Amino acid sequence: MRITKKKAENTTEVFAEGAIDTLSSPKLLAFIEEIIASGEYNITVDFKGVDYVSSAGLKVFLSVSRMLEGKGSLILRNMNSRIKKVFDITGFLPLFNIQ
Amino acid sequence: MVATTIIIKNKDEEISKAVESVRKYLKHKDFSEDCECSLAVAFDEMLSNIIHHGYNDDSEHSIKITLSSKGKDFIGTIEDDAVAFNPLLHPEADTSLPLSERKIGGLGIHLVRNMMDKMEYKRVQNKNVLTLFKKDERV
Repeated sequence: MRITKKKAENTTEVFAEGAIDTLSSPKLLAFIEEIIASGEYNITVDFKGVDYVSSAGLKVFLSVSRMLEGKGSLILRNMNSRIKKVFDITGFLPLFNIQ
Repeated sequence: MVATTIIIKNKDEEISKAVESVRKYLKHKDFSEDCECSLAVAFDEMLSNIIHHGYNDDSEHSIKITLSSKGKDFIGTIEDDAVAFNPLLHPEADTSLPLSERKIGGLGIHLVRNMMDKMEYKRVQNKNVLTLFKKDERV
């Protein structure tokens, strides 16, 4: 999986490419944790290049969301319908800011 | 129905190898991308469950995966020598809890149950045999 970031006006954008699954999820979490550790609390994850997300990926967003609670915000954007379905089946859809 | 067999070891890196083989198989058989991704998630979930929770020792174990299809009907089997575990009897995850009370355990199985058309489990000669059925819904 390839992960990159870009500083935008009020947020740090994270672009993931490939699958967010058992093997890649720890890398994504470490990548976002580093951003939070640098003092950036508004994070947007862009799913444009993401094929699918497994429950290991959901765990990442759950952890990040808890880390940012009361400090900033997590926005998830550009999800394809398959990824939305995974969030929907697990009841995660209403818990996140999905754009 | 000619089946494709993949054998992997009980290591995280091997999950990707198996998932890649599943995706390649489905592409070759002209299954839709939606179906391919659902099955990629299903194999990722079930294999990681086996590898993370199924073994009481540090030894190397083999997991056998068999893929077959007839038209748009896919059948995948996972056979492992891990502790007996029937995912069909695993309690349903509570998907209505707020974010702060959410636990991740059980979500993978919940996902697979919802994404597959049917699942079957058998314990055969000290092995778990899980079969996943998925029909490609693309017209």
